[in-house]
Amino acid sequence: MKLNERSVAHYALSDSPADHTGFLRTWGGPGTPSTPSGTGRRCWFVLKGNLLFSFESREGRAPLSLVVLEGCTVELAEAPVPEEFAFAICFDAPGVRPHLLAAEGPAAQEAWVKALSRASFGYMRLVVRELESQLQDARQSLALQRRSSWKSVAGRCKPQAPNHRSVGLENGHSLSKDSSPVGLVEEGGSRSSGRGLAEWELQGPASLLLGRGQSPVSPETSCFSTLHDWYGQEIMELRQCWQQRAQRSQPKCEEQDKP
Amino acid sequence: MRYNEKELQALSRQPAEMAAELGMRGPKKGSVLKRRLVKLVVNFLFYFRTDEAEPVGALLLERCRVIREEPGAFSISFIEDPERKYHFECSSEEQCQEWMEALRRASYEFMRRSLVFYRNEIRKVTGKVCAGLQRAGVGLQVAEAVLRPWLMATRPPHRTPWSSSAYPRRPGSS
Repeated sequence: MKLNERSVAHYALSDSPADHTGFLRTWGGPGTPSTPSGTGRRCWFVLKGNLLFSFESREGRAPLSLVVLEGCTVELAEAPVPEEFAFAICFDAPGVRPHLLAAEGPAAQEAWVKALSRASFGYMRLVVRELESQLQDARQSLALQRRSSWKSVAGRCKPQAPNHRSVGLENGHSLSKDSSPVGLVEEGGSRSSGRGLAEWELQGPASLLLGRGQSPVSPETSCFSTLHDWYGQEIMELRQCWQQRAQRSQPKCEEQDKP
Repeated sequence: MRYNEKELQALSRQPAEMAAELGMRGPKKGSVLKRRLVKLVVNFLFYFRTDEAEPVGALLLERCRVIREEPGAFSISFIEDPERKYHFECSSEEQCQEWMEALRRASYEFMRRSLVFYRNEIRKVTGKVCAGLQRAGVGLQVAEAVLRPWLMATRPPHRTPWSSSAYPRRPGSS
C-alpha cells in the first residue's frame, strides 16, 4: 500500500507540536528476531497526534519508523529480559503483534502510557466536542443570567424589543460601526448602551456574508469549523479580488466596506 | 521509513467520515485519471480500486492544502512541495464543496486548534461570570474527567492497565 511518505517524514520533522518525546527501547525492526529478546534498541520517539515516530537519535534527519495509533490500546507488559518500565501498543487487527517498548523509569513509563492512550483521533474529537458543548452551556447560562439582570434595569433603559436576539443579528452590523478587529466581540461591561446581544455578534465576516442573504454566524454557532469556514470564505473572496486587481491595469475592485 | 501497514489497512476498513467514487490523478506528470473509491477515515485519505478490498494507497492529511481546481474538481498538495498535486474530480459542485470542507477539517492539527479555540472561548465566558455561575468553570481537566469512563471502557473490562501487578499476557502475543 502506498503512503505519501515524503510528506509524512516532513511532518515528523516539522515544528508542529509534539505531544510527547523521549528515549524508549524498542524491539522489532529489520534483522531482529520475531520474539523480542535482549535489551532492545534505544531510539528517540516523537508522538504527534495519532502518529508515533522513531528516530535513530534526537538529531535524526529521517524517521526510522511510524506507528499509526488508531484502534489500539496501550498496556503495561512484561519485558523479555527482566526489564522494568515496559509497555505494549496492542492492536485489534488480525495477525498484528503488539509493539513492545520500554521507558527509562517509572515516571516516563506512566507518562508514555498516558500519552499514547490519548493519542487517537477519536479521543481528540470527543474532547473537542465536549468543550464545544460546555462552551454552549456556559454561554447560555451567561445569557440567562444577563436577561434576568436586564429585567431589573429595564425601567431605566430605553426598552429594546423582547425578541431583540432574533432581530438583532440582521441589525447587528449597523449597530456596531466601530472598527473592531474581526472576531468575536469581547463582552463589554455596559448593558444600557442598547447593544445588548450585539456584543455577541461577529463583525467583519458576518456583515460581509449578510449582504449575500446567507445566515450569519450566530452566538449559537460556537463550532470552530463553521467559524473557520466563514473566515475562509472571506479570505478566498479577498484573494480573488486582489488577483483580479493585479491583472487589471486600473484597480477598481468592488468590495464591501468592512466595519 | 517503516510503518505499520497492516494496522493502516485495518484502519481503512473502519467506518469512514466520507466515502465516494471519484476520479483521481496522481502527482506524477502524465498521470491518467482513474476511478477510485476514496475514503476519509480520521486524518487519512484512503483510495481503492473500485473492485478491491485493500487500498491502493493512503494520504496522511496533516499540513495539506486543499484547493479548488476547475469546477467540480479539487487537489490536495503538501506544504513541502505545493506543486505536487493529487487531483480529484467530483460528480457535482456540491460534492466537490463537501469533500473540500471535510478534508480541510480532517487533520489532528485542525482539531488541536479547535481545542485551543474552545478553551479560550470558555475562559472568556467564564472569566466574566458573576458569583452565581461558579459551576460553569470548565477546562480540559473537566473534559478529561468526563471522558475517563469512556477511556476505561475501551479496554477489556478485566484489566486495569495502570497497575503492573499480575498482568496477564494477551493470548497469542509473543
